[in-house]
Amino acid sequence: MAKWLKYAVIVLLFSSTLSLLVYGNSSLVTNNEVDVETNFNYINQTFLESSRFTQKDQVDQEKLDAFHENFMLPFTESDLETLGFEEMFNTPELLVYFEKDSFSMMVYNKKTGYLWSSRPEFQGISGERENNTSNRNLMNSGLWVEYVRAQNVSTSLISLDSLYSLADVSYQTDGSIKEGQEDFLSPYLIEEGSYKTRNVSVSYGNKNSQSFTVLIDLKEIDIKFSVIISLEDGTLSVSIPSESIEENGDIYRLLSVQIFPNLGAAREDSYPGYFMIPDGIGALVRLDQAHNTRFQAKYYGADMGYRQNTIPLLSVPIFGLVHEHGANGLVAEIEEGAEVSSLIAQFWGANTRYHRMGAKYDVRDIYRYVINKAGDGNDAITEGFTKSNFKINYRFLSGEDASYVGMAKAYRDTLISRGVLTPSEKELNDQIPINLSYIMSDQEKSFIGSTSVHMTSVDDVLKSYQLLKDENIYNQQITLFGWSKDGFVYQSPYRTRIPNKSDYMDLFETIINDQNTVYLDNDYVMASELTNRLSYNPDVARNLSRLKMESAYRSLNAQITEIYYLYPERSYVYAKKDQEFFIDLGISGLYLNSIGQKLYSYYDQENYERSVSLSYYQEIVDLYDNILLSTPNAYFFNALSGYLDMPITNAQYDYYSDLVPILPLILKGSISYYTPYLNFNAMGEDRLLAMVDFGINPSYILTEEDTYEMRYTNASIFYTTTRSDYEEEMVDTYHYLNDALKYVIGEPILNREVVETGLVKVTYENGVTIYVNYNYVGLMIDGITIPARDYEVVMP
Amino acid sequence: MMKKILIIFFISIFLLIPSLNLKANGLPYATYTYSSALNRMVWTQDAYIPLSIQTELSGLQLEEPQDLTIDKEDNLYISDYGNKRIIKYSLKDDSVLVIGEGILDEPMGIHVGDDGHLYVADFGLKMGLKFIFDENIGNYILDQTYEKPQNTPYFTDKDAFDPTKIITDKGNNVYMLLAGNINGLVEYENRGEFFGFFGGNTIPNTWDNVLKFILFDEDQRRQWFQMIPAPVYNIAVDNNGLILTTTKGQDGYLKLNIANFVYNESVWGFDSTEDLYVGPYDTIFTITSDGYITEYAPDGSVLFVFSGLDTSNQKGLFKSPTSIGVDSKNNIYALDQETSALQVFIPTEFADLVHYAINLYQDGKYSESLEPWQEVLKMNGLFDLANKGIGNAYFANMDYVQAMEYYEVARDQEGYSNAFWEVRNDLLLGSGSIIITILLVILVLYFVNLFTHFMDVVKRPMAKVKVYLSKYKLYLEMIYPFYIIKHPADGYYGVKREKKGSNLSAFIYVLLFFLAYIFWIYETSFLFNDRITSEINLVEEVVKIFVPFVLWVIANYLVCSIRDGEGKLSDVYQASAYTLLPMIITFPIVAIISKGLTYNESFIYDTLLIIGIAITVIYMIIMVKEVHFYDMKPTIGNILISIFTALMIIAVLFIIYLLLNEVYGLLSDIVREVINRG
Repeated sequence: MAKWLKYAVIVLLFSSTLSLLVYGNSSLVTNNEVDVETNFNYINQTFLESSRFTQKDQVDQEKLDAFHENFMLPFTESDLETLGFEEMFNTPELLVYFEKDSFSMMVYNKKTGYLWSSRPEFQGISGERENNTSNRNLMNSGLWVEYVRAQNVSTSLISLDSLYSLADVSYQTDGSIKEGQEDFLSPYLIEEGSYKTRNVSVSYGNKNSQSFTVLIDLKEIDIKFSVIISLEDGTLSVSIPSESIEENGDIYRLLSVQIFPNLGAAREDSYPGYFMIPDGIGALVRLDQAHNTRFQAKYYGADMGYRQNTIPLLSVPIFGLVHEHGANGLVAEIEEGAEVSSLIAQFWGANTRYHRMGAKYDVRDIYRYVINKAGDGNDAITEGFTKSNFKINYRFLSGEDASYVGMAKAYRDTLISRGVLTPSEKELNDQIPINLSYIMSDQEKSFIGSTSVHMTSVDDVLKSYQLLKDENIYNQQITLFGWSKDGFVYQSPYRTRIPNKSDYMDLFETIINDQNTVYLDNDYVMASELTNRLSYNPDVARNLSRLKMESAYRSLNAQITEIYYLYPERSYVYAKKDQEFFIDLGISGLYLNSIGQKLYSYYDQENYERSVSLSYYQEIVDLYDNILLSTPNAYFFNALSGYLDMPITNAQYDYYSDLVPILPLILKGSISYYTPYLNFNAMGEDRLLAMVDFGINPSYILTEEDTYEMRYTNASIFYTTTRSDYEEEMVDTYHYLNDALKYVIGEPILNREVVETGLVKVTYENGVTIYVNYNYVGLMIDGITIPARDYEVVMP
Repeated sequence: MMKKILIIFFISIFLLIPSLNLKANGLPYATYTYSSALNRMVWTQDAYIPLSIQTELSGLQLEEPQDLTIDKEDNLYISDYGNKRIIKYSLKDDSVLVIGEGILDEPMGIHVGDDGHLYVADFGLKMGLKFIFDENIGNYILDQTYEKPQNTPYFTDKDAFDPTKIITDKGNNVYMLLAGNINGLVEYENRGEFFGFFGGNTIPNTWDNVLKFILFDEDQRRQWFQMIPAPVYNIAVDNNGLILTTTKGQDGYLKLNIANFVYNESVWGFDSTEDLYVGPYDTIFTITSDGYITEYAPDGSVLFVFSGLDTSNQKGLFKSPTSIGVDSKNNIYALDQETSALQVFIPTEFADLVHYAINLYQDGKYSESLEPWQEVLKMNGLFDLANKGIGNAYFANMDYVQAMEYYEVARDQEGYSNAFWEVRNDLLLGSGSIIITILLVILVLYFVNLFTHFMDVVKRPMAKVKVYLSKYKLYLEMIYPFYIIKHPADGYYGVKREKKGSNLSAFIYVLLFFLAYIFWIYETSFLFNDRITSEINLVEEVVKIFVPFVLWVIANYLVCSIRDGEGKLSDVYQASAYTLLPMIITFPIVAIISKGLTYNESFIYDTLLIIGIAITVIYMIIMVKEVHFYDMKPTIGNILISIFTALMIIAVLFIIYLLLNEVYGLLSDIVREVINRG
């Protein structure tokens, strides 16, 4: 008996020493807790007050009082009559007055008693002559046209005229309002007979209690068109039908029409409000300084057909103005013709005392016709003009709705009533969804041709999927990249050659049976010289300069890849060909990369405009029931099953004062939207807090093998993807976000308020409130303490 | 050269990249780091984010600010050139102090010394000034000036004395940079006495400079060739008191030791550096006139490159930057002359992590730096400084195999060599007994063989095979080059007159040469071979090997047939191909041997390779002599002429290609214009 005991003890000692040796040896294991210093307090504070965050809406009481006293339009009915306005619409919400010769409008918001004017008001109150006659003609008229001579097209020879400018109007006074001579109407009074009706003639067409047509005949330049103004359900619509545009002469050609460019113009820094520009995720420009600059960008991004290049990305066709936060504002939506419209804003500065913002209907664009390799050419315009009509809807916001939240909600309600947005967030087990993209393989250049580098196998995807389910993450959306034998980056549109097809189909079945979704990636718009399917001549589009749409992408190892953009028609042909293959595979749908963001005109024996490309793209998107898109423009909102790469910032111009979540406000409750891949997040906690604030779901891109293995492929632009490195982080981050956002899945946002700098309060329609504290100190509000750099969820 | 290429490609990237979902943090610029594994710049997480941009400091407007410095309490000092004053600004409480009003004329350079006093270089007053803080009046008063030294041989009355920058070292000596002065910095004692120059650039030792040095004297060199060293453009001092200089036209920066030698320099850099500053972790920040901010690790390797030129008024970019400064938390402050604005950047978590790791690494705490480096590597798998750091950590821990792996990933040849030496050492020590045993066995077998001839069992079948194969002409031809090696004159005669060679076998030899070359490129150890295998391109290599060979054969035949040579084209071809045999043998041997060598034994590799090449060259010369039946002197002459001819052939073909291209371009332009006008 004792002998056995001795043996047992010895064996025990031996095995414990052994395990000590073996496991004690793994000393080089990372411990994720690395203490890093934080920055100075005042730096952190400045950061929160910078234009990367929304600022607290607080205006000095003095300024507010001054605004109420001096800058509310005092015009009475008789004043308006003197100025020539007629009452056109009278509804319970609004009173609309219109003056046809100058195309000016006054809208009286009955709920708040505020009068909006299409002219910059309070001209001349400085007591001196502020503008010369030609500027006043532009300011006092609500219809501006740009035109060029057909024989001498050049971007430097564009003429900008308003109705008054063309009619060569002159004024009774010099526009200044001097002490003791306070006639606020005097800047607008024109001299009798100075409006030359042989140059411009404006007349009414049909007129009834809900709409009227104005026929504009610009005799001076032989251009005619009509504008229809109507009021329905509190929404004022202004539309220009494309067929009504007539160009009878041979000399002039119409380039664009701006409707009410000065509607809601604000003088200097007297208005305690801001402009909302839907750039990126959304931006505000507060009207409290002379920004002395101009903003101009085309909706839906630059049109590559014209070789345009702009930085801001306006993905929703809206803009908004607020004169006083919480009192009066307006939001405008371009219902038709947004793809040929631009947003123009001019700010107070050396050129003008007013901030103004408006939309421009680009009937034609000037493009450069290139003749030789050196790039010489001449400017030209298309013979015909756009076939898209232009329709802009104005909604006047009162009281609490007069804020950027109100603007976004108004647009959201419009989309819901049109059936574009329906409640279809991805929900499962009361959890928020997480998007996981896996790179299966990519091509690496080798001695002869290229070889495939396998980064993730189907089994790996399945294992990872199960692993996450074991960690209580049930709601997963899987996207697979590089599934085709063609590879991944720059190889699209991929040939439908999938290795181990049956393995893939099994994987799809497993995921779909769990009520999750799986998507394959493809891109029918952007290709490159590495694409196998492409034939250069028929497929690659030409822009209007007759050059092939290609750009050289220099990768950082100095290898040049030519990127091509395809004809939309050819994109559709490829998509149609592939449709059967994908539907057979049993996937939920496709993840289409560029189609949501790139919209361009092209030349294919004749010039085609953006709306034609759009119709092809819409057909492609309609081929599948479920589609994931990356940063799509508003025209695809109705087809979206998920919005990837939600922009988290805007162009960060130095005159932007706030960053506001316009897109999340519009989409929350209808579509699940995901952040750009968190692998590349350098902002750490700030990003996670912003995701709780805006309701953005997490997204990661992963490979089973070390990222290092694909360093010679083009996919190396994703410089960190190793799944084992992110395992822990993914689970932690997901649960951190889920613990807040699970209470508001499928719920639209009711209001968002910045209570203090760095402390945001978001309320949802089901009564849940989420407080997010970006500060480095804990704060108390409404009886609740919100810890530093954290959030707090308050149930109703 | 490599750096120039990198710079050109790097800048052109900014013009041509379509956005490829990499603007993940919403910044108007992308951040890069240099990956030595891939020999290029790679994207990385954003290291710094723009915080704010302000044109006024607590109500004071800047006008053409020139320089910026930061003291130990994180106060900013800005030389407000246009307003003739220095502004001391504290970002913490937005408080501001105006210094030097009424005294200063054109303050350009500014510096806070270790003694806490303020030093200003005034271009208009042509002197440096030292200000001391007076508690009583709460402002700075002038204490000392540093003016142009009189009565010294270094300065004549005509010489210009235009101070632009000023710094002090640990001993509180004052250094001033004079505009356009090629002697370097003027050094003063703190009390104002001038005692010499420091830190001037030297003229680089290029071949033409050396030639000019020999042939001409100093005055001639200065006047005719402008052979004067470039004037230093800007200076900074690091936390150890070492001085750094940048010069326009030269890449990056130089770090000088107190003996005025270049102690260290940047591995890569732009050549239009406007300003530089050393941060709290001894990392070096430079800003170029194009708005690029570069951060270097203390040893000169590139950490981050970001920002750029502002064309649309975006926060975070520059129009005309003049100065950069860094505070104790690594926040970057930069001045823009054109917009008179101060921009502030704050580091991200990623940058903080990298700094933390570097700090440990530079202090030699390699093992402790392992964790942070692994974190960094997690965030960017291609961040090579991390790989190098981890390699060093393993090396310090004596885990040499792991160290080797990481060094190879980081392409650090030095480190790999050291780690490999250790591994090899261990291997040899471990298997010493086995090797000795094997050698003894072989020795014993040899002696046994002498007596018992048991090896004949192997030798006899071999002889039979040989006899069998000799029936085939091809085999004899393939064996023939071995004979040529032993008896060159007779061998080449055999090719020429006795038809001992054939075109087919020559072709096979050329192919064998190509195969040996490929084997050599791929299999040589990484220590001696810096090529990245995935970047080796078949077509390129084929062109590299075959084209020169063909050109040589053709050119040689053409030249020599004119100059009384006897060889026919096929003779030259076959003989040249057979002469490649030494290289065919050398390449594989050298490649295999290189796998076992470290840098300590690099001479073995080099010697073997040189021997192989030398033999081949000698035999080539002999070949030309024998095939064409020349004497020695004309042989050399004809070889040189053949090489020249080969180059001319290439040139002519190239010109024809260009011309054809132009013709094609012209025709297509005509067609396009006709379509347009018509």
